[in-house]
Amino acid sequence: MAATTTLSFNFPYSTLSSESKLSLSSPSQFKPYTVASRQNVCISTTATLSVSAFRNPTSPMFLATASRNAEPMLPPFNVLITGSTKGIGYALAKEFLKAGDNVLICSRSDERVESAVQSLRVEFGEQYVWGTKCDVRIAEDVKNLVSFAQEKLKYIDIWINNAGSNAYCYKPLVEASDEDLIEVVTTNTLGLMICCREAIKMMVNQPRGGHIFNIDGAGSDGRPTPRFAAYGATKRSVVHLTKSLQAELQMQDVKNVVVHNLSPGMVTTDLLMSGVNTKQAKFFINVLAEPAEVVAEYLVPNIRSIPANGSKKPTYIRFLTGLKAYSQIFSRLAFGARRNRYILED
Amino acid sequence: MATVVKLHLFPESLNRHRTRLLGRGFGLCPSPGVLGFGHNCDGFSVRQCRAFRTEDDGDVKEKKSRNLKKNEVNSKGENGFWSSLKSILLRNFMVGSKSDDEYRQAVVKVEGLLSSIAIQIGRYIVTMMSTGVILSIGFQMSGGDSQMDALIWYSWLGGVIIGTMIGANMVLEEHCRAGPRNVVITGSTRGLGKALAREFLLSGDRVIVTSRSLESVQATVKELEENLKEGIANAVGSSLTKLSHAKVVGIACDVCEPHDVQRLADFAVKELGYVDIWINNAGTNKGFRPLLQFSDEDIKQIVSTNLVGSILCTREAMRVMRNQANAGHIFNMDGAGSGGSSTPLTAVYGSTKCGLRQLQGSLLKECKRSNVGVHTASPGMVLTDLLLSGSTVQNRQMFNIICELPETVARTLVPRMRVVKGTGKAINYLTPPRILLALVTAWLRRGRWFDDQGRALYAAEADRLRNWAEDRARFSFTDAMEMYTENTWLSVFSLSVVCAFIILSSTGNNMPGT
Repeated sequence: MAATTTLSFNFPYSTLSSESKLSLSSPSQFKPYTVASRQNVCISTTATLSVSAFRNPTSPMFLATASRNAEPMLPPFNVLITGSTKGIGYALAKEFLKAGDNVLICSRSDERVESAVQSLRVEFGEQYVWGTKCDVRIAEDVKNLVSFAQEKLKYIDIWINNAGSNAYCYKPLVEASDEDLIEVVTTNTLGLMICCREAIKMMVNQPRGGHIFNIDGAGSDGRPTPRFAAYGATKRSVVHLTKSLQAELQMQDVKNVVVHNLSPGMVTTDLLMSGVNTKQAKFFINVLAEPAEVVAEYLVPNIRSIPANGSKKPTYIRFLTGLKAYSQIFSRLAFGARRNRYILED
Repeated sequence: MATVVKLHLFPESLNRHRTRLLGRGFGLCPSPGVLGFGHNCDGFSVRQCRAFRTEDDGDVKEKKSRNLKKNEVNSKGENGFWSSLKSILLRNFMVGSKSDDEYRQAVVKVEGLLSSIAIQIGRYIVTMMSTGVILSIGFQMSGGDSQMDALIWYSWLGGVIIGTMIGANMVLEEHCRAGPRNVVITGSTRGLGKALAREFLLSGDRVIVTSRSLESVQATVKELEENLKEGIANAVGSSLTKLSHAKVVGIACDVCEPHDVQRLADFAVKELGYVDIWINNAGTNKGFRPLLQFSDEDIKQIVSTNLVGSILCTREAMRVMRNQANAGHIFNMDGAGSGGSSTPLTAVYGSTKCGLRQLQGSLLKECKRSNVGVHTASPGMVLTDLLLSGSTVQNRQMFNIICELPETVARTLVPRMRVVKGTGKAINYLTPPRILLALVTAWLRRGRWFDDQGRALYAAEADRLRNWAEDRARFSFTDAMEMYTENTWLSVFSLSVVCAFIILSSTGNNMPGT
């Protein structure tokens, strides 16, 4: 008892809670227990202390959120998807439109946005689809995107950070070119961070609040990704950013904005298919990958159920769960299912 | 005619050397170990004689002058042998070959090797003599009891085995530590990078410092050269020869600019020939606040320095190291978030560091069968600008407990980085014993670096360095703990084997009796 008193006097900011969960604040370089922290076991480095230090009730943002009364989020939702003129982004947009939501699409190229908006409008009608050019790596573009969204849709309920790049090449890091590396890192990490920041900024002031979904990728579980090391590193950082943002928002008492992770698994888009040059890759793509439409069909109802239920809990929606992956690998090995499904194996 | 006379003179003087040396050796320690020492030198001098004979056709004048010089050397007396041997070797080869630099280096190497052998043998003899003394005392006390005698012999044997194992470990370690390393450290004009550069430099390595601004690079190079000069002035004996290879050069390099990184790699190859250790230390964190309050420029800088910079530098280092004969090692710096736990208020920094950890895993697979080792180094929490900018009073109270000065951290990390082998190693400062110590002594550590108002109490860098020489020699408790944990398993294992042996043999002896 005496010891506890001493300790709590010693660090008034750090909480030695009764569950004896030792929390150490770590605002910077601090890795207390290498082996343990690598396996996510023992000492958690959540910055409990900083709650009191940084929570500033007088800051305008909190006043704004506190004074507004929250409205329930009802369908149809306004959905914004970055990098959505092809691949999984496009499939998601289509699926949301099918469900009756309003969708805002964007991408780096003006022409692609134009043609995507055209084809979607033909299919689903004029008043549900909007599109604008936005390079997520450029902060100005993202800010313009936000004002475009506010102008056309007033508010955004679901913001999906889908834009990601692998420079469409798979080779060892030593052989990767400067431009490719910079493109991968700036799109996947910098772009995502800027989008998250702008999205949170926008949604905090919305009466309906908002949900942000960050799309993960290979390597986000921390497993190595040889031949696309830079991509894996950026996707790992995506998951970590989501985690940190969740902790930050909780710390700041922001209740109406929630950041989620979204895992589409392996999708037969350009990004994945540009890497099929090894036997192993062909095997796994045939066994585990699914077309974007299939993935979107599964993901969209799951995404929509979150605001529909009024849930404020951060989630991690996965299409390709471990069990599914193993059962598919097993059926392939046992019955030869899915052989040569997309690519001819030899 | 004159030639012949002089040629006769040479082996004579050599013989004189030898006998003097042997006499001295015997005088010091009269034990069979010395014979080996003597033989060693014998073999050496015989080789010298052969070398003399081969260059009979050298001209007379030069030999005369050499002879004179040699006499001078002889007359110096006390530190005669090594220096004269060195000078003999030098003069021999200087005439015989063109690349005298190579031979000079060879001589230095041979000299170092011989002296280390002599030191080890000396240690061995002293140890054996002391065990002999203890043994004889043991026999005296046992009073002729045969079982006790056997026990004493077994324990003596065990002691010798343990001692030899530990000694061999020490010798190997010393061997590993020898030789200058070529080191590149990015972002090394302040904070931890500078401390690392200084520590490498004072370990006798060749260091390249880099940073974004040319002025600060130049200032740092100048400062480190001053430190090196001081180090040389204070050094004695083997550490002086060690420091003679040390040098420091610098180049401006923005790690997120591919061309700059390319230039840095070319510069390193040009200046040093090859790179042993490449440390990606450059990293930035623009204060502690929620993501919403980070500006575009801040986020961009953090991402491009931490992630783009590290990836580009790693790639460039790998390219350099693949083309060189000897193995190279790349270190990426860990930070908060590397382990995957969330880092609110430093979300950007944390997620870049987390990404780097995943990169490490991928690189490990990619570099499996090459001579490049990829490692991580974790400095823990260091009192640098990165940590202190934007920290609050409460934060600083916590820093008192767990933080360290960059010099302290560098002193622990650098020796480990220098002897790193293989690939995929993690070199950490905040190891479990250190954390435990910090938590146990938390009360004592109040006000270690900052007072109640968060004002810094520790000396500025210049003052810290002034006290550095004695600080370096000071015994560090935590370092000792580290060393203890490393060697302890070896000792415990061998001790338990010996104990088991003794117990088994003694019970075996007792069995027939009972």
